[in-house]
Amino acid sequence: MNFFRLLRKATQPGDRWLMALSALLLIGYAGFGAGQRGTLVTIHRDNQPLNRLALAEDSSLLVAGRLGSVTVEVKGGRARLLEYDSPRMIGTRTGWIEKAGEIAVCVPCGILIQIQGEEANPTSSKLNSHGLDGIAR
Amino acid sequence: MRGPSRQKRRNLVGSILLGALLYAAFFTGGQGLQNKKRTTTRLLMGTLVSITTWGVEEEQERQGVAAAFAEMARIDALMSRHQPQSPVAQINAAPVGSPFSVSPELVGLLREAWKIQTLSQGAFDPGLGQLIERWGFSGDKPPTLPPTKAAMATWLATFQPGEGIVLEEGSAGEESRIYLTNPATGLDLGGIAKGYAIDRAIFKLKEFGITNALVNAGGDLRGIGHKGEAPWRVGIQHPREKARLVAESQWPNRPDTDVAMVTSGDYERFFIHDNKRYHHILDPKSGYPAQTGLLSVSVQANSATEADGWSTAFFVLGEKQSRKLLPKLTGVEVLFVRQDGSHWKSVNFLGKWLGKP
Repeated sequence: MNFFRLLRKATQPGDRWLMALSALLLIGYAGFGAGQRGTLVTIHRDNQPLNRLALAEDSSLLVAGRLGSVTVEVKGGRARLLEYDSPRMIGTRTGWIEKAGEIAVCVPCGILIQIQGEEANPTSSKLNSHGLDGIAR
Repeated sequence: MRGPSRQKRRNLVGSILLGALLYAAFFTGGQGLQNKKRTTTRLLMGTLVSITTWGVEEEQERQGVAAAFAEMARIDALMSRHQPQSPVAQINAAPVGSPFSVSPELVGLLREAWKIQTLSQGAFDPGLGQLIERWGFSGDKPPTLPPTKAAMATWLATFQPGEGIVLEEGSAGEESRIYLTNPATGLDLGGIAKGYAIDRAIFKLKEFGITNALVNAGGDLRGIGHKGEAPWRVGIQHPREKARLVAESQWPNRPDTDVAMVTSGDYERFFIHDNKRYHHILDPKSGYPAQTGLLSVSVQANSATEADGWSTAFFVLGEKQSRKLLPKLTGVEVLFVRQDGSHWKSVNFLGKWLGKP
């Protein structure tokens, strides 16, 4: 007797719904737990916490960096850095970040933003969505 | 009698299946809490530094990681060419021939640099500070033009590879002193100091009883221990496409694992001028960016100091010379990514090639 026939005989319809729901929850945990959406973005200047913005509310904040102003923009549950004067514009080129642990940084400005939330797998780079612990470069 | 018994059996099997599912859900969640992986990130040494720990109590982790970051900041203050008060900056600022007292720690790192310089026959050189200044790779703004031919000719005519830095060893109880003898020489430990800072961070973490950790300073890493049932997994970035990997390295899943990996490539700091790529890894013999047919070199070693120094040296030496040298270096493994996208890795290099770039 195959597994599904045994399952059908051994359970009531209500049981099967409950099992399907549990299975979906498990799949959800395994598939999306590694990159859960955050709830806050924290802003650091020279490694000191400066401010925090809720991702639930669209907003923007002008921060004085070492090389000039940097804007932290929150929109649609995501955040990004916009630099006005940075040699490589790496923070700006990082684009939107939204998952817990993701980081955008302007090293010469000394400004770092990080998404906070339940971190199943904290990441500093979008490449880390492979579930890696670090990227050599 | 038959009906109720069958029903009971069905209910029993159903209950077991439900129980197994609920247990699996509970167990998966519970494991995440007990064996938590934590990552803390700071801006240090002009780059993003992150320390990841596994299975450590929160307070122990907080203290150990703070001590490790403080140690890295201390090394930066000691070795940086850009911090005016650092001994290295002061040696460079002093007139030629003026001795400057230095700590045994700085002497020790300079000796490490000289060792790699000797073994690599000058491919690695801690005296390139003046050359790096001419190229402008260490400034806040990246350069857009190479130095003039006249500036390079002057430097080449004056610089003497392997000379120009003099160490006067202090006898017992006395400080050692360093001075420069050549105006074209500038002390620069940038090719080795970041690795040393990583090693010191690991040392500090161990002092706090943290035995499962990964320190990542701008892509240069050292990992100790493991993550319980899983090993540390590190990707190696594609030299031309930031969003891709060329290799994935899984480190042994053991408590005594200790692996350092540092990559040098022509893609981190560079500019394009007249359709030519000028990168920051300079060949001490020509004064120009090393052109040896490589895009990147990843080195694994017992310490990040060694891995840091050898990744630069191998990039400058090129694959052929480096492979000749490799058997003489204990515990040093390498992955070369060539300009045509092919690769070569030493037998014991921990990593799986993911495909041609």
